[in-house]
Amino acid sequence: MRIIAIILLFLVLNTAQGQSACEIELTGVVKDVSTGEFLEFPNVYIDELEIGVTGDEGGSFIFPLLCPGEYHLRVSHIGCDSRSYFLNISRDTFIIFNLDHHEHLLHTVEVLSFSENLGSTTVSSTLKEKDISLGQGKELGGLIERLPGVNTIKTGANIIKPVIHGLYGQRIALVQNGLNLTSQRWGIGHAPELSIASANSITVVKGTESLEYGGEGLGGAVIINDGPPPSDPHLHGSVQYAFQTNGRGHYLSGQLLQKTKSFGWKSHFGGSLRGDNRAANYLLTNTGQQNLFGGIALNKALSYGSLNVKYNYYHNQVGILLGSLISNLPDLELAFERDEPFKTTEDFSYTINAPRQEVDHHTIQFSWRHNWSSNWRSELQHGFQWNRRQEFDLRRGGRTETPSLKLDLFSYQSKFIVVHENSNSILKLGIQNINLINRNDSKTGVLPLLPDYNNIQAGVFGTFKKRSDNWEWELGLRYDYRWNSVVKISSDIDRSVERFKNNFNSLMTSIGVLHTVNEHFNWSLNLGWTQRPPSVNELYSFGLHQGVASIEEGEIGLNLESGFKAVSRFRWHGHDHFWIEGSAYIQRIEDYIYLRPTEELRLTVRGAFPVFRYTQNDALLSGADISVVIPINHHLEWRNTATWLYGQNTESDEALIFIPQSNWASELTYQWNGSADLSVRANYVFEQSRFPTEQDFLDPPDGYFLLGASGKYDWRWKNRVWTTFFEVENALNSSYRNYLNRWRYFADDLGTNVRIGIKVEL
Amino acid sequence: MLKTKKMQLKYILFLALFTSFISCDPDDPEDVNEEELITTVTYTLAPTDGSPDVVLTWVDLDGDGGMDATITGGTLKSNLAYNGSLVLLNESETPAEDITEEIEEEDDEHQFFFQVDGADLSVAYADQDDDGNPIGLQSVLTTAGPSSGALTIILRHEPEKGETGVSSGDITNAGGETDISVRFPIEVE
Repeated sequence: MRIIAIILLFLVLNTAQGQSACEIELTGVVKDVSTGEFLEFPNVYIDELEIGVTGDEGGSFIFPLLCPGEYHLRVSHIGCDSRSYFLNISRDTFIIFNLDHHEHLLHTVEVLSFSENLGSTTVSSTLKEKDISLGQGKELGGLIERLPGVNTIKTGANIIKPVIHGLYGQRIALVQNGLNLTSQRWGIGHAPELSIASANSITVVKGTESLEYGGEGLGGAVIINDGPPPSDPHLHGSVQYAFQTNGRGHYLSGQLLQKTKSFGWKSHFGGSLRGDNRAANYLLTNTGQQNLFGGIALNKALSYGSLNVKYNYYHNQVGILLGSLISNLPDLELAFERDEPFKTTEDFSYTINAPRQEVDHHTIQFSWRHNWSSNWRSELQHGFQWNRRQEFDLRRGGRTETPSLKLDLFSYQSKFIVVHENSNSILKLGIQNINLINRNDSKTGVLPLLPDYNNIQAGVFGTFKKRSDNWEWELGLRYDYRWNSVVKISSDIDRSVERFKNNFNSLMTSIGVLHTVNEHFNWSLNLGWTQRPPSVNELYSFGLHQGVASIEEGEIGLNLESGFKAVSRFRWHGHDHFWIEGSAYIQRIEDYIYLRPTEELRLTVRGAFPVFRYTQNDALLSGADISVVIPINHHLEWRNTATWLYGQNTESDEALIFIPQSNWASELTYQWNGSADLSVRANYVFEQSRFPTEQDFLDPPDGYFLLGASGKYDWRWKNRVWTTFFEVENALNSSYRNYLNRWRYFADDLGTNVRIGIKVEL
Repeated sequence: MLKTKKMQLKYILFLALFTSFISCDPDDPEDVNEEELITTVTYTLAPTDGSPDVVLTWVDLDGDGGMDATITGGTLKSNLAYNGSLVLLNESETPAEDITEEIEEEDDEHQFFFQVDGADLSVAYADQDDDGNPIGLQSVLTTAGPSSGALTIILRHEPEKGETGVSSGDITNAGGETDISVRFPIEVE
């Protein structure tokens, strides 16, 4: 009783000092964070009062007669993600809201929660939060492949690996919340082991700025960050459900977050269940997928910084198309000649039989950020990851339930960064340490493809960015030491134990410039030199890849591969949201490591197999991408992207294998007041005319055209925002095959798929 | 002041964690018991005229390793029927493991295919699984006129025995996974 009285008294005093109750004026403006321009006619809505206003031409809005209290504001603008803010209002308040317009076209401003004041000279693309949110249930690769310069290499419909400017696998760093993902990423058939359910931004870095993540970044990086820690004292969250027709897939996920008095917490969880996918004309037997994920993040604000602890779990089980289960070369030829894959049935099933893959990935992360002064701060990170990969084949004698490959990869990594920052420069110095322990289960009954190993990677790096007038400069340098200790069972008749030890020293440098010519036009140039030590599979792998009818052998004598890359980007935008952005790059890689067929045809009890061995040659990669956004009127926007790639083995003077095809996409979007939109999308993928004939079993397939549509609608019901969305892929049910899908030898790509979903914010 | 000291102490503690937590070599891996490996294929042909058996063998003891296989072909008499029986062994283990037994136990999931090129002969199935479909562990090889060529024996795991032509020995529509595919040189005199 007494407490209430005191609060009442306080309120009375407070209002007596300030304004009388319910006469508070809340005013503000809404700006575009990327251009600094005011956004005309923004919508601002107060959840508690269920009232909204539309701002004026200059982006200003006003709520004249508010009572003091706590409010949730929702700010939206055509073409932007809507944002929620929590405000405690006790007096007249003026507030500036920053929205991201054309976020997908923006080069990234910051990578590891560092300054947002400075630009960047590297070229990168960030996915819109809306696209992440409405793309839930898709694979990471499927989500980012629409970004300019990004392609994917697939094994069927569920295993999707990102390709950046023609490079993939171990040349792409995958970074989640500052931690390098450590997993069995060497295999083309191994999808990234992470869920995007908790992601707030996904950025693809195509230049060499990724040197913060080590030699894995030779080809760029995909950086996935969760959003900022919760700041709202009320329990919030969201629940999302989606259904897709192809594979009759269900997806459910949820998120909860709250900032309590002492700490903030955020949790996400969910899963998906999909059955057999369907190509245009037949069912793809045994291509289901089951997925489960969850995580919790705790955040504690300290007097001079913050402390974060995170745990994430990811489980994925994927079926492998039964018809891709061929063995030797004659089998492969039989499979090519068929109209539909072997073992095609019309009985849809959710069951996943062998051959299948099962992956479990755990991540525990700890980070501590401390501000030592207004200029100096530091960030310390520790991460533990445990990745278990199991692959099950059809086996005799009831062994099908015994994995024929079972790998456990344990990793520990730590990173310590010191940052000095003032209004026009940032200096970042850091050390990074990654330890890997890879172990095979000996009970598989099969000689392991990848040996057991211990690995230490230690690196020091520094980056410096400076701005003066219209110029920004960027410099980076990194040195890495890598040590491997490998123990392998020999493939000769003795099956003896062989030990190998080696170490590598590698360097990375990067220099860049960004010039803002005027408020409409800027350009950048980034030059980088990156070395990557050969990985354990490139050095020591040995075994049969049944899906591709070949024996793969590592080469112990491999050296570092070194890449020099130049990337340039320009961007022009008009007052009316007309945008054009283009980038071009050229990358020369010395001692590029790739699998090359040898002359040898090895006779085994299962028939004759070509032997592929890791080889090094000099290579040249080049390409360009361009995006144009044309606003037709206030509601209608036309977006175009085109990508062109070129890859050449300059030593043997032939095309590089598995270079993505050039492609073009065009999208027309109609928007109603920020609450609803509808898009129609057309996409043409050209035939790959440049390929090394004798390195592949089959020539690249024809080019193809796909039509799609998507849309969403936000509405209010019971004081909550509900979002419904839909997406149609391959609307014409075209039957096509993609050069970079490993199943193209056996089956068509996916037929029509319709996804519908609903999301509610709590 | 005290607080700063405490902070610094924490810092040192965190940095201590920074050292590598492995510095040693991995242990020797345990032996992998490759019990599914097939190293040896023996096709014994017993002539119906009572003369000695002809034994075709194919041996590769190191599996997918680089060592060449040892292949022994055979010479057959023309216009004669032979009773053929197949034995598969894993001789990388001592004593050698009889893989034939595994195939007999799962006979509905296995089928052998016999492909002839050059030689003038034909092979017919002489055994059946519980569904009445052929297996091929037992067969009858019948030669015609003198000729020379090769006989390829293929074992498919999980073929579709019901597809067109499969039960009469045509592999085209069989599907499944190839467990063995071995080729023997043959002379018919």
